[in-house]
Amino acid sequence: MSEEGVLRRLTPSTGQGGSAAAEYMPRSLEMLRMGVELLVQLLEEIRSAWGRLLGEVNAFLIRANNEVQRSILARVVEWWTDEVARTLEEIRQTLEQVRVGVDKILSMLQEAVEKSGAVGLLFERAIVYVTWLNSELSDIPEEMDGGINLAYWGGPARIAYDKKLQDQVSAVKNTHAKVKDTGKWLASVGKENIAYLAELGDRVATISGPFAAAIANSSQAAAGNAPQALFALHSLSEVIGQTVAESLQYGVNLTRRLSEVSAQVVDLHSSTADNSGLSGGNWPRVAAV
Amino acid sequence: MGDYTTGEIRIAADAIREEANKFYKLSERMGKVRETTAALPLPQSSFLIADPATGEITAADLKDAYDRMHGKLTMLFQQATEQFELFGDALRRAADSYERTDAESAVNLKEIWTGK
Repeated sequence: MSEEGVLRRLTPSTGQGGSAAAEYMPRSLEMLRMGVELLVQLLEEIRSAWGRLLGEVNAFLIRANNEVQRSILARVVEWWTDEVARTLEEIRQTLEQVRVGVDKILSMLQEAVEKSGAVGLLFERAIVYVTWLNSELSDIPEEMDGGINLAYWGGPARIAYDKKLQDQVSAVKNTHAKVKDTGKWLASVGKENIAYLAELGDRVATISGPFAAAIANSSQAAAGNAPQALFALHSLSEVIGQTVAESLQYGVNLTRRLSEVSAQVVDLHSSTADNSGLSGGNWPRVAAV
Repeated sequence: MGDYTTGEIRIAADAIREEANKFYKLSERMGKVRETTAALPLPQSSFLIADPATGEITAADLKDAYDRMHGKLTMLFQQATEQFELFGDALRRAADSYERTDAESAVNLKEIWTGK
């Protein structure tokens, strides 16, 4: 996509502010979208690999079970055949339980990443606040200053004008501060959200390694290589262990995330509730006498 | 008022009318500020990220905080647009009154600022 195209895509429909803000729109936002798409793709591949791994381990278990059954039928029953049959059944049942758990974790991660793409909108809005709106409101108080010939205007009407003008200037300054606070707040929330997304990406990358190893081992197992079958089971346990560990870390990070969000919410409420320069939270009325 | 000559009063009245026109223009500008601000709503999905367990709650809290600020700013800019227009009207009345009462010592402040 051309630079112009990227800017057009990133430009919100915000009237006067939209086109002006496009000038400041970072191309990093487009990269962010691409990064999220890559993460989604990676998770899709992991899910697919997980499905293949389960299929191949299951095939191995069925084949091993059939071997045991054939041994029984051939009346070469040894003490260990019953034991092996029981163990294989236990593995099969445990595998089914684990499958449900890992499927849930992977679905959770995928859903989280897919929903992360919209974070770019926070930066798009932030840019309109800190550029166009900021610029417009910062100019207005100076423009409200009276012309030099107003020096010939005196008396009570002039005194009343000076007071009412100051009220209007104060109100503009209040909203100007709010606009700057909102722009910075949106950028800060977006930054925190992306940091969280990056952590998620790290976790996806961490579990993708064991999956790759497990797939390599399970393909050998499916081909009938008995020692590799044991490796496949071992790899499977590593995959499960790693996925659960990442899931726990995810839970730990949630606590930090919740405290950050609470602080962010308080920050903006504080600015919203600041009515200094306003009249009871409203714009000062000219007709108030 | 008696301290000013007729010429000075005319200069002052013209200057007041210039201020009135300035406020009409500022009202237009503030209308554009309001229009731009009103076009900046954010869906909850833009705050939703990464934590499926509590994501909906944190996103709702953040969106609520933004909505309150966004709503207040949009309201204030709407009020500012109206008040700047009224400020222009008041200054016009002040200029008229200043010229009209140059021979007298008082102007009706209430009439200037409320239009009544």
